[in-house]
Amino acid sequence: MKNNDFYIRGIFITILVLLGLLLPLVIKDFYILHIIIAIMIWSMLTLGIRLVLTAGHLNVAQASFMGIGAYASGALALKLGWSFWVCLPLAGIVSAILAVVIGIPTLRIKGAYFVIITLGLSEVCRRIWMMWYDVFGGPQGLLGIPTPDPIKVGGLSIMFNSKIDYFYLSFVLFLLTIFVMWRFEKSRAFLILKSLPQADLLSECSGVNIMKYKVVAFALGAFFAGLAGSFWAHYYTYCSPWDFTLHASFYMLMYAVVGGTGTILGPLLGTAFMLSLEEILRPFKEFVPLILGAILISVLLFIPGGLISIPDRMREAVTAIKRRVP
Amino acid sequence: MNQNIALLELKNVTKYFGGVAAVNDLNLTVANGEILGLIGPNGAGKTTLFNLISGVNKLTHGSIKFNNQAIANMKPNVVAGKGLVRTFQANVLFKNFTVLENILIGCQLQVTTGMFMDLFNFKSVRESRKKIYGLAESTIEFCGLKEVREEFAMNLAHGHQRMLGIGIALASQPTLIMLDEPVSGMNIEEKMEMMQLIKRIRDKGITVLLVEHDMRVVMGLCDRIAVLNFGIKIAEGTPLEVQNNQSVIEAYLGADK
Repeated sequence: MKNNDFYIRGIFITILVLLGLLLPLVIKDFYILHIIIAIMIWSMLTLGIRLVLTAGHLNVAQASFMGIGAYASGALALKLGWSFWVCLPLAGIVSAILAVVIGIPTLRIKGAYFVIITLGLSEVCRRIWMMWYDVFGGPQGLLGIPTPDPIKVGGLSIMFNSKIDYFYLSFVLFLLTIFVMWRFEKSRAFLILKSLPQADLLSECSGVNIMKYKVVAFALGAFFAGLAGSFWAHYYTYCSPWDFTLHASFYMLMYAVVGGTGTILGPLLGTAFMLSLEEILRPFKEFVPLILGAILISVLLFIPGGLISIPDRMREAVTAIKRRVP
Repeated sequence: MNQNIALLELKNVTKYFGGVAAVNDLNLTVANGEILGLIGPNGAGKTTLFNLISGVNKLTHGSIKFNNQAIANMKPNVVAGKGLVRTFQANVLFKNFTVLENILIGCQLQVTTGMFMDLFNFKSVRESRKKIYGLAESTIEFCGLKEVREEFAMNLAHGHQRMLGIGIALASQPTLIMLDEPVSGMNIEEKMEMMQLIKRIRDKGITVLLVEHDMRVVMGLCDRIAVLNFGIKIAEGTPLEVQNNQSVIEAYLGADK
């Protein structure tokens, strides 16, 4: 049974990766390719939110950590002329370190108070980016962030002058995130995180240093947010304080909740579904927030497990009907 | 095991909540290998004392020594790491976890691989995991929870939930376990089962500190009993001595006027 599962999962993952690699050959439309890139990058952020949410903390500063990554990477590349390939990991690390520094005092606070703190944090970040002209460019942000340096491997060179190259880069980052999140989910740390909203005092009295696990989850989410931010900054070649506001964080949260926070696949599905929907509904732009809000509320009311739980619910419904009809 | 070595020593332990002394200048010694009962009327400070020992609340003053190490005002996880664990009064469990997962949280002290090592499928990690699962399984068996090991904690019967609470504590392989009203809300049968379990815990060489209201259980189990009233220890001794102590009778039944 377990072996079988293992092979099915292996085949599933291989097919998914192959499909991902072949996708740009099939989809020639750069617009659709851009949306797929956006889905992958936003998934990295929603997965981070979901990880901290598992520990019972609602982090509404995830976009700020993305911004920290974006600004760190952008400023280093612009002002110091560092290569993107140095800035990308640095952005993640800076974001993670800041998350540790912020997390140690704040993660012991529970419930609504933590939300308020992250809310404040997000505003503080925005103000810093707005006011610090020399480094962050003020309200207009950083303009002209260089695109990633070309990679030359043998005869093959990736120039980063088309969407396809960016697609592969984001795909690699996306796979990295999924892989780490998936391994984390299988590790005991995740079991401990899941135990915290249920009875954190019991975990603590069982000898678990709960702060350590919370801080690591927070930092891990921030790390991938930082990577995503760095990619975003170099992809758009600019970043401004208005890209990383509370508004963006709430959208990430909405994606995660609509998809379902119980599994890794949930936030992915939620992000893909909601972002695609936003694009499809582009002709009715005024109504998009209304429709998304309606979807969020209906999911919360009728399918609390999120979209990902629909197959399970259907299966349950079918067995219930079968039981009634002999 | 040496009966006379003091495992846990409380000296002048005092805790004020505002102006109220919940525990006042308490001295208590728990000897290695014994079952010490802690009784007293409601509000006598028994649970507060547990919170002080396990590090959940901070002392106002006084000292607590465990294995000759000062443990007062340490964090709960550090105290647990020294081999002193507690259970909780109400059914504080991980209700959305299965019995096995509950016990696994209790086993965390025995894990030797680091958090990040755990992300990889190294041989040491696999071995450590195997060891932990073995430990969890034996704890489940010890607590008589084998037939419900895949059940969710919230679906368990009350008696099983209390057993599980103790199982989580036992899983960390403590030297002293503090049980907070283990038989509250149980029927006679479940009480007998719980008493058997506590005896088995003692036979394993684990010292037991027990808070309990049920006198039959306390008198039947404990080697020694300490009686608290309004945060002050009013008596200490064998069950028989305590039963015949005048101030204990007064505390429970009121003074004869």
